[in-house]
Amino acid sequence: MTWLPVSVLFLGIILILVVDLIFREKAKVYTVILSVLTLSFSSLMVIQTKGTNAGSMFFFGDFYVFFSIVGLLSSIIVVFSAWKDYSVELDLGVFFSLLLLANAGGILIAASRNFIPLYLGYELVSIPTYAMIAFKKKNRSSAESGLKIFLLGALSSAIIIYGLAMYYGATGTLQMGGDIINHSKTLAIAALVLITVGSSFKIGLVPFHYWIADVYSGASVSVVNFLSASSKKMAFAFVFQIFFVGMSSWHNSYTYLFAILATFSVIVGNIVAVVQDRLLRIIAYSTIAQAGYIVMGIVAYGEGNTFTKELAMKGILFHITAHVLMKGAAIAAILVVISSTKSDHINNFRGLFHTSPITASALAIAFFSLMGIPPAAGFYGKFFLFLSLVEAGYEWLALIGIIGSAISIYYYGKVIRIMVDQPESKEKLNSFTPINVLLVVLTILTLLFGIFTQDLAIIAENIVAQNP
Amino acid sequence: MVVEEGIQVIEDKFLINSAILVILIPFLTGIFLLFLRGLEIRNKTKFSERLTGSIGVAGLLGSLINATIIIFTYFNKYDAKTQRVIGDTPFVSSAHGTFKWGISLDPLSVIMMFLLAFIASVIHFYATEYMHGDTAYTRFFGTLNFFTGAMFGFVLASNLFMAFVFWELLGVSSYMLIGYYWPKASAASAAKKAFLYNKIGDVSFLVGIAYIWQITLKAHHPTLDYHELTNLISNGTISINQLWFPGLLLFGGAIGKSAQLPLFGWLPEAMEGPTPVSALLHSSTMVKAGLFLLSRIYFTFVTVGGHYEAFIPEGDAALTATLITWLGVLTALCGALIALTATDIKKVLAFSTISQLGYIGMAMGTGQIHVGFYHLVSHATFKSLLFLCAGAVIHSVHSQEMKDMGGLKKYMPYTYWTMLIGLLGLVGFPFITNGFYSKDALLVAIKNSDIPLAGLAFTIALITAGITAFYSSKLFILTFLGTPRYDKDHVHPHKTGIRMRIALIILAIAVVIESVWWAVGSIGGLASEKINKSFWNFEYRLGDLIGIHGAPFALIDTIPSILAVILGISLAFGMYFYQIPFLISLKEGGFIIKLENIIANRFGFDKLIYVLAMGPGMWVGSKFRRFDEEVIDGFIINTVIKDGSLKLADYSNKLDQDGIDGVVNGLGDITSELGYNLRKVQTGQTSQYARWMMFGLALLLSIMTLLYFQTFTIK
Repeated sequence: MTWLPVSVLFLGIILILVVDLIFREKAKVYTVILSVLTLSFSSLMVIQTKGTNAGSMFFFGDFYVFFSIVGLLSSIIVVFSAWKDYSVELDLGVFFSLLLLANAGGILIAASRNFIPLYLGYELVSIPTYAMIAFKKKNRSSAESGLKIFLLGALSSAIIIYGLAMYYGATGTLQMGGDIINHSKTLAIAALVLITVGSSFKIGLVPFHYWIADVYSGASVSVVNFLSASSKKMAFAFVFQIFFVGMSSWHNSYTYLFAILATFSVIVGNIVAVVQDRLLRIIAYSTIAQAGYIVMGIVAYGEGNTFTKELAMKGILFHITAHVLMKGAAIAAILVVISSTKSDHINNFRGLFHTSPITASALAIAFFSLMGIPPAAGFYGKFFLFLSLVEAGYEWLALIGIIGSAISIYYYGKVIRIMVDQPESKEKLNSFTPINVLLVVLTILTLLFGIFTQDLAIIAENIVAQNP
Repeated sequence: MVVEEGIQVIEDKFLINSAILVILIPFLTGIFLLFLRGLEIRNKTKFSERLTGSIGVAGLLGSLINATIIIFTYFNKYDAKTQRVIGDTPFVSSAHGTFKWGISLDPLSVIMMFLLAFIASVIHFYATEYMHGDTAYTRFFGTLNFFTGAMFGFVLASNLFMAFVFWELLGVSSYMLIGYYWPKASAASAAKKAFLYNKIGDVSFLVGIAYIWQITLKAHHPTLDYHELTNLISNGTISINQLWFPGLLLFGGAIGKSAQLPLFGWLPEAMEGPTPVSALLHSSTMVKAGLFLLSRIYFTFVTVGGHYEAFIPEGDAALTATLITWLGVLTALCGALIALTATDIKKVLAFSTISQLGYIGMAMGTGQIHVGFYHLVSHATFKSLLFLCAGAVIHSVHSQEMKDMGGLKKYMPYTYWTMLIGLLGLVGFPFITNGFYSKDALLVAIKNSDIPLAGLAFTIALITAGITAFYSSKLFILTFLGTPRYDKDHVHPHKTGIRMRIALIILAIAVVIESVWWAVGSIGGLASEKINKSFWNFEYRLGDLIGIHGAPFALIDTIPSILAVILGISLAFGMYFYQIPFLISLKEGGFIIKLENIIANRFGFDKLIYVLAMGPGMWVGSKFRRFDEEVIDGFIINTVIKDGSLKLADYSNKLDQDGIDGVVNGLGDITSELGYNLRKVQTGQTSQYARWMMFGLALLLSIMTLLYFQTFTIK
């Protein structure tokens, strides 16, 4: 019973591969439908299995439910964009099965209470990701990005494993939440820094962020959507598991580290985004900055009392949910433009409001949300994150976050302004109905985010209560 | 069988700080010089040799001064027999024990340190002239300083962990020095060979350390300190029956570094490095590290105590000692035999080093650590002198082949005399040389030991002494006596330069001093008991300090070795100087030629290693190569990386050129400027990204350890 969500995913993988094999060229629509069904059904199963008992290595609480479902549902966005993006490729089924496999890893991460399954889950997310990035293997930039992230990812995995070995040395256990044995302070510091560095790579904090810009602009857009909306959330789940549960009693050591990393990420991410003239690169750098905001939540969580922790957790959950919606919408909209004009250069967006109003409005609203303007989704997350920082006594960090947001208005606004300009040609963009539907749904959710905040807040409080 | 009973550990801040300086000064000057070299490469200039050479020599002189202070203070202020000065700093601590950085000053390490500081200083001074005009003069001194610093660290280390760290640093820097002339293919391959051969030993060493750690952990007393380990053994917490196998693994490390059978192949190739490097490598660093390690961990293979004996333990534990001794004996013989056939002057000396190292290993295997150390000191002195002389000769005739030399006596009188002194030491010329006394002690040690077939081992060692005398005389005759054979039109042998000459004379004086010292101690010891117990008798005194006693010097024991030496010398003179026809016909007999062929192939050991390593290695390699050619080269490198990065470069170029204009016009120029500069870091090169990641890791680690360590509390 306990592993039903994962079983469903595996069953889906087998079915998709078989269908792909039987129908070959006609299989595309079937695989899309199957993937969406598998993902939704698996989400249902996640809710069903909440609270089951599976020994000391796993815990199926609210954290598990939230992050599994975020991963699964955001993968649906990926399925839609891949449908459009890979319209000429045949083996879409393989791509979807890799996507489902990564989701199985995400579920494993969210459920773990021991470092072994946690790390297994982490790799189960990473390895299909490498394959997906290099999926268009005839395409040079895609293959190059795949190799790049593979090499750097292997490096970061090695660093994490090394850190876990140190953790074992310092605590004598691989169960999360171990206490440090006497005289093992040095080992604990080594464990902390190594694990922080290794996981900072995955969530893209400065100075471990270099792969992001290259991979985002090199890989195909639907994979970028996966990286940004789905796999990034699983990586965050990994980080939260390590620091909120695994090292919960070491909190006064890691807050400091993350305050430094968050500062660098927010400043560098926002400033470098200013000079970019390709949309995907802007998205890449803004992703770095957004990761910096979420990490600020870790700082506040580690430093504070229960009330601050709840505030920080609310901020984190809001921001992560909002991030899925706004980044998903933005990248899907960029995908529409790229598939018509073959480039994501900023000039190709000139006059988009006139040629393709739906795409342009979705992109504009996503950008407003990313700036953090109410009532769009991005506002709530940032608001609670900064609030919790002030509560925790990190006013200066909140100030840096606000300065970063101010800078971000410039480069998002620049794009919106260009979209309003008169177009160079009146040619309409090719439109693709499923993507348009997706854009509309995401935009509506972004705008109406306020109604879900109550439910998310309850989940956040539960998570804080369930964490040791 | 208590070895270290009543040993007292003293804390002496002053001595420890001086010892740290001994290690640190050459390291810092070395790194500084390498930094200067970096500037040279970037600016395409060359700093004056006077400056960089002086820095290099100054680094070693700093060490020498501190080493002198330490050796005098230690032996005057403390009772070296019962007092050790140890200073430890914890490095990584955990509930299961602590790894430490530590300095240990005891008779062995202090003497070794002083010897090393002295010889290395002289060699550095010599090199300032020898390397004159070399394009990478700065790099040479930087690496040489670094290399010596690593050896200091190894010698002074108080525990196996720190010893291993410096052991590896030695390996790396020797790689750089042997491959100093890396554009030459042979030098590059020699460096690789040395590194790989050593690596085999290193792995064994590391596993041995882990093994010892586990044993002591199980005994609830985790430690890697030499001092504490001896304590644990003497109070019976752990027994030698547990330690013989890890001891064997540690000896595996020594086999690699000290070029014992079968891993000696790298040492002759190491001649590809500049001569001062060879001199340093063969005298007191690198190859002596393995033997010094043996003298540090002797408690793992012998039980020592009582008088005139070092016991080989009973049962399985005897295996390690037996193996060390017999490998030593065979190494000595093989080295000497190969030296017979070598025609390159440096190669002869290299193989003679292997042979002498075998001697020392043999003595250590029998448990007579002090005897091995005795010969180690003699050998270090005369071998460094010999190499520097050989360097002077090569410098003069521009060839390393002995067939291109001859009759150099009248052109190079200083070199002639100093080389004669060195060779007499190597030969062990009766009664007047240091080599004679220490070699005699070795022979007595092996004769009296209780390893299996000790008699045979003694005979082999004796024959080796004869062969040594033969090839040393041959080298001397072919180089300095007889008629000149070099190309007279092009080569004009000149006198050795002033600085090189000074270095030669200093080392020759050192050999003479040692000879007098050893002679007074041994011969005088026969006459007077007082001299016998005083510091004049180096062997006895050293054994006394570390608690081992061997048989005293006796004239009757010297007769076989005197005979062997005289026979060897007269044969060589008969064959090469007087050219007696009978002896020459003997040399050209069919059997001898065949034997020579076998020997010249180094008994096939290299070949064996190649077969062992390359058979399976090549098989796996060929599979990988196919993968490499088809997948990595064909697809990834050619298609992805090459074209990809070209395209990327093009693109970045374009991006740079039509840059910011027209895109940025709102927010202040400062922000965009900053952003632009930050973007430049984004080069698209994966290795550079990895470098930045490692930089970030290092940064965070240093912040946490330096600034935050104190406040790091865990509830």
